[in-house]
Amino acid sequence: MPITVTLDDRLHDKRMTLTELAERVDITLANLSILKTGKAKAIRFSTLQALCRELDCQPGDLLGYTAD
Amino acid sequence: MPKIPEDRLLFFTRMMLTLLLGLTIIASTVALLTIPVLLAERGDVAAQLAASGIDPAGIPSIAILLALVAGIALLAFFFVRHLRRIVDSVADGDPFVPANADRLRNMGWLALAIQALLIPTTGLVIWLDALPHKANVHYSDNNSFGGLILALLLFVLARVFRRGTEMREELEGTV
Repeated sequence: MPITVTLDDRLHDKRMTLTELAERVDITLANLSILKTGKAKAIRFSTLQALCRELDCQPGDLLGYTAD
Repeated sequence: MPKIPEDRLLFFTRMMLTLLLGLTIIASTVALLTIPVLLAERGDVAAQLAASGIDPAGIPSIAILLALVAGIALLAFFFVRHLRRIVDSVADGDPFVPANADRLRNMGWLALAIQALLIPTTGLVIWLDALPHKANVHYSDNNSFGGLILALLLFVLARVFRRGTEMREELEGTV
């Protein structure tokens, strides 16, 4: 998929673990792991909003696009 | 997926379908086994029919009719088996799977095939009924569009299920 998720980089910047983020945004670790590994097919605005709030970033900081 | 607790409707449906599976197998087997017996004992059967005042000219047609009945029963068996598996998946709490869409589509084809076999079957029964000294064959004129409508409905339902399955997969991939 040409859409990439750069969640790992933001977590690294914030010195936060995936487990910690999962607790803060109230999303299961399994689902967040799916998002992090790029296996998710879609992301809800509410999820994006929670991630941006906790990671103090913009949606564009979490997602990237690379042409095929 | 959570397993749906066994309810009376599902239990009754599964029982009925299991019974139907048995009946279709019995009907198909009996019809198939009768054909060689009828043909082997053709002379005796013809003599007995003639003695009873029934025209024995219908014996080959009766054999063909039995073959058609066996075919219809066999197709009905596969139809009911698909339905039983769909009901089982409902009981398991996971009916929106690609396999059920395939099953519904196959059931549609089976309904069409049964309908196609019913045409010569009905024709033969009408012909046998019209023989002099009626061979005591009875039929009910139920050759309506019901079978065709059922097949169309099953094809549409198959598409609904396929779309439902795709939507579920999409939903499961949404974070």
